[in-house]
Amino acid sequence: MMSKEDVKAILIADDSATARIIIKQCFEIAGFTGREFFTARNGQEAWELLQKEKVDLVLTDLNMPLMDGRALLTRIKSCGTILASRPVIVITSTSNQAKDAELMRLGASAVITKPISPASIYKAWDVMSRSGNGGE
Amino acid sequence: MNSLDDKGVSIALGKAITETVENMAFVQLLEQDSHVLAQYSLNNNRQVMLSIFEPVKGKLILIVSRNLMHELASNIYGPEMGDPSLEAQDDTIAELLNIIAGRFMKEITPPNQAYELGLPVIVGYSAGMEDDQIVNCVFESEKGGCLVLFLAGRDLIEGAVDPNVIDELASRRDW
Repeated sequence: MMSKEDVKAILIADDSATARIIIKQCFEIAGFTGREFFTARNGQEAWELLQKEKVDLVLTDLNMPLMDGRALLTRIKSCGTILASRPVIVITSTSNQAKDAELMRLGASAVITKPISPASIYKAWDVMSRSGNGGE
Repeated sequence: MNSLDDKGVSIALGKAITETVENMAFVQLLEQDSHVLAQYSLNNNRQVMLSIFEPVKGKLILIVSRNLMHELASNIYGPEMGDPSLEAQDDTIAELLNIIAGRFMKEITPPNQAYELGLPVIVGYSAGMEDDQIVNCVFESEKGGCLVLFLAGRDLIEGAVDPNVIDELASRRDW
């Protein structure tokens, strides 16, 4: 299981620059300061970046052009490399029980509903650590 | 004045707007009657549209006055980012509409009902106004900014998504 201290590099995939800034700010407030943050505007960009950079935690929106978050999540979890073991947190405005359950079945470690906040990150990380789903 | 204002859909929409703007940008919005729209020249303001594809079809069109748009972006980006560019301001209201739409759909659909939303896009004022079933919500900020949200789509407005939820929303007006 990965601890917060093990997370050195974080990838944020979201087509909104505003969302990327807010997510980064919230994660820093939630204890992820001093980390390297990579950003991508869509799933395709995120996937290409993941082939080049070592990333410990992936944060992805769902609704993105070119490749959406669901496709990115599926590709990460089925790639067969160490990348597949990295936790993926979905951060989305279109969350409900059915969708969250589907994303967890696809391999998401947690689903956070927008607008994100440090409190929602603490809660998600706590849930992840209790379930052994990537967090500690 | 829109005759559909009393429906639960309008209430859910207003709730999504005020909570999102307050939580994200720390701006309090006060709901106004639709007739105050005449006081604003909406054509000069930025407009962003988002389509609803499932389970019913509809459109949300958000119009924000320039001063309010600047205030929202400044609050979200923070002083260390400097004066937000117009591109940053556009992106801010697009993301706000994205979140408002998600909250709205979550409010009016059953927990296990899937729904699909499009991506927010900056559009012209005439987009969507030809629909004959439109709900609008009008808000003012403390600094005199204006925010208007139009919802177009007959099935959405008539509560076809989940009539039980719509009725329940309409029965409680204390939010």
